[in-house]
Amino acid sequence: MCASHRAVRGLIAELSGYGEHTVTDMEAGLEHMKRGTARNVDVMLIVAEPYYRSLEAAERTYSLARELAIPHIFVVANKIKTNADQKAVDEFCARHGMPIIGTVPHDDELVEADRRALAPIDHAPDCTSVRAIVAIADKLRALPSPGGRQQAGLAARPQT
Amino acid sequence: MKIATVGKGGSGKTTIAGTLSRLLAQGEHKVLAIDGDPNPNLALTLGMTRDAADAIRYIPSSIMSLVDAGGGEKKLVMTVTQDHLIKTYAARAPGGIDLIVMGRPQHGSAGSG
Repeated sequence: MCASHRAVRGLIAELSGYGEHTVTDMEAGLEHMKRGTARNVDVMLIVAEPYYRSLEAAERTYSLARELAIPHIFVVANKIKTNADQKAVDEFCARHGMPIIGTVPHDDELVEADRRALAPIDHAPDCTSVRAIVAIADKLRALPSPGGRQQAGLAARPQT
Repeated sequence: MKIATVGKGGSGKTTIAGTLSRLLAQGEHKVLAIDGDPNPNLALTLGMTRDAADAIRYIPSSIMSLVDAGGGEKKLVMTVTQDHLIKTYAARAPGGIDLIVMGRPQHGSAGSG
């Protein structure tokens, strides 16, 4: 719904100074991109599965994110089961100039965590998929700070 | 840093968003997680219980208002302060993470969006 989209977009901008990091789980699909919901982000992680339609969708999202001038745009290769899966994602992304920030393997522990209604990191903190996300978090922390809009150590931006 | 996860439904983006939030919050770093998905389940991947997740107050879209910014441009402004919003609507997830949820429950019939 339109009002809701607008609200999400506005909120992300308004809350940008809150805390050190904001992590926004966007809705599926491209609508939010067309409406500009994603404009106020520093890092966009495009989660792609190793099949063609998913990669194609990732590519469209990537192009839109570029148009919105989002500073850091990465693909996360998710649910990778085989070397062939990895190769398919690698080749597709290389062909379209899309950087991959990390590969998260298919992991039955995630299915089990979901069944038990637990966070993956609480259910199995050392499982292969969580470890892969740890590596992604490390890379994100190492990115150059985005223009000082959020600074480490600041709990919240004072209201003006 | 403002991070967004996007992807097709079922791609696993919510699992990645939730786990990343928990990781970035380690060492007492302040993280705000925003669930912008119409089918909200970020709460569970952050480690909240189903009961706690069910008790989250959804943010009404009336929290943002479209105002005239001059020159025919419109801009969105919050109708409440940031502090009020966090105090009123944020749920506390493990790791000290504040979570706000923009979606609406599927069964919800609470007025117009």
